[in-house]
Amino acid sequence: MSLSPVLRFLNVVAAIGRWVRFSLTIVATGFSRLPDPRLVLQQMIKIGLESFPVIMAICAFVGSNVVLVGFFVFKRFGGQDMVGAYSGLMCLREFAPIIVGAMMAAKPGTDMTATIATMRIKEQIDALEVMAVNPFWYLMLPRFVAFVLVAPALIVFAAVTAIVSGYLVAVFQLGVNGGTFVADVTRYLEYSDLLAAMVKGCTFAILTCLVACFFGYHSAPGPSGVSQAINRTVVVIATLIVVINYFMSEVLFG
Amino acid sequence: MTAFAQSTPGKFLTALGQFTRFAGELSVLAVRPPYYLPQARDAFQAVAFQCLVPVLSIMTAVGMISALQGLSVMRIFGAEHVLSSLLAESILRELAPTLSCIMIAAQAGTAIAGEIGTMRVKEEIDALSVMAVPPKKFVVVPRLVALVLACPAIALFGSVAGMLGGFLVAVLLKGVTRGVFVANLLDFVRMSVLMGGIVKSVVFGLLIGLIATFYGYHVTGGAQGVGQAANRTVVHSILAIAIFNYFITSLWVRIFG
Repeated sequence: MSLSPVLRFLNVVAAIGRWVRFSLTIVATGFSRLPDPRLVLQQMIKIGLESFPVIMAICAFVGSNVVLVGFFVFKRFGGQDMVGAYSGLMCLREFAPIIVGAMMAAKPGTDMTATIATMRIKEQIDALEVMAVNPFWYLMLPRFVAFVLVAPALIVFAAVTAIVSGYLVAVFQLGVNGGTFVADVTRYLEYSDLLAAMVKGCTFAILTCLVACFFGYHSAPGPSGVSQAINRTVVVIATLIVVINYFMSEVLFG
Repeated sequence: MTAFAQSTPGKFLTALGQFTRFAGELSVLAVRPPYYLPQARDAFQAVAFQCLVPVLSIMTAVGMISALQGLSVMRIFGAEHVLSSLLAESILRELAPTLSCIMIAAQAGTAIAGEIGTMRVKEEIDALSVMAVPPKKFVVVPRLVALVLACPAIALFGSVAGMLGGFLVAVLLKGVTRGVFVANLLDFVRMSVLMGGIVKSVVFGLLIGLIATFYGYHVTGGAQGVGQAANRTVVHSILAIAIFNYFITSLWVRIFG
């Protein structure tokens, strides 16, 4: 069963339209009735606890790797003491938001897709509607708010972990002067960088949540439908994050 | 002893042991005939075609962002001419293997875990073993081989896309001279850099394949179990890639410089 390219393209356009409408419905639900704070808190704890250890572990290794690569590159023209500035800027501006976004997609995002898709297959969402509970208000909105609130906090932890692990590698493995490293980081990083990183992280979290909810809500029946929904969620979000990151960097730091 | 097996470190060790045993079993099965080559070819085709578009789009964007950020740092030193050399080296050695393989884990890894998990849930794997077709050899090994072969190939395509993205930003948007960019592009790229990238992507492909098939093969429960397997595949593959990347880079730099 192969569709013609034109039809396929139109299908994609239609899916984007449905996604935008779906996202607007979630946001509009929030304006017409505030989410239950208990549900939001529950989701925040779940999302934070689920993604925290993974993000820390990945940031530790990415931070050390940035320093490792940067050191040998800068050594060519005798600038190996600049590695602190390089690692600080790269980790805070680029890697912390991207890693937090990607890992929120991979861990709580896919979890959310699987949960909502399973509820859809088991007709629990229909059951909610029958009981006059709006599924957008009960399922999507608390997750959306929780994602937006948790992301900036995770960014701070991620950036600190990455820079600290970079410091450890630079000082103990590569023999950079510790004082130089710290001075570089504090001289080149500004509060606006932190704020920009948080804005980026929030944007990625919003995207993650909306895409994950969409694919979960419209999942095809059966186990293969659930796995397909997860697959699509991860790929779409990862691609969107990297592409949007380029434009946001251009606007925020360009 | 049972109390320890129920605790978190005990469970982790048990899972690690199961994983190691699974990996060992597969490596024996992979070299022993009969070989299911048509299955491996189909799996390779599926992986390659699924992953090529996401990898190319993500690597183009990454090349663009590296050029953008690199240029702002290089302008401080007045060293715009080394931009393209550094870009090519960092893409071939670091960015292309890691990012391509993360995308492959997200796309092909979850697809494979979902596929095998669905077969397990629908009892197709049991049906295969009833028909005296060894399921690990027929289902798992071809996909593993396909991932190991596809990862370096896709990563190389990704590197080309990354360099093109860098070229786009540096030359067309930021006004670096085209001749300077192209002439310096491969200045720092030695054979060891290229081989380092390829070795990395082979290792990452092996990791993704093992993790995806392990979680897919051991799915329990219905649709929810399949979802969980796909979830764990992504998270653990990315984690494994980040960890192994650090150690391979350290080792490679120490041995080959």
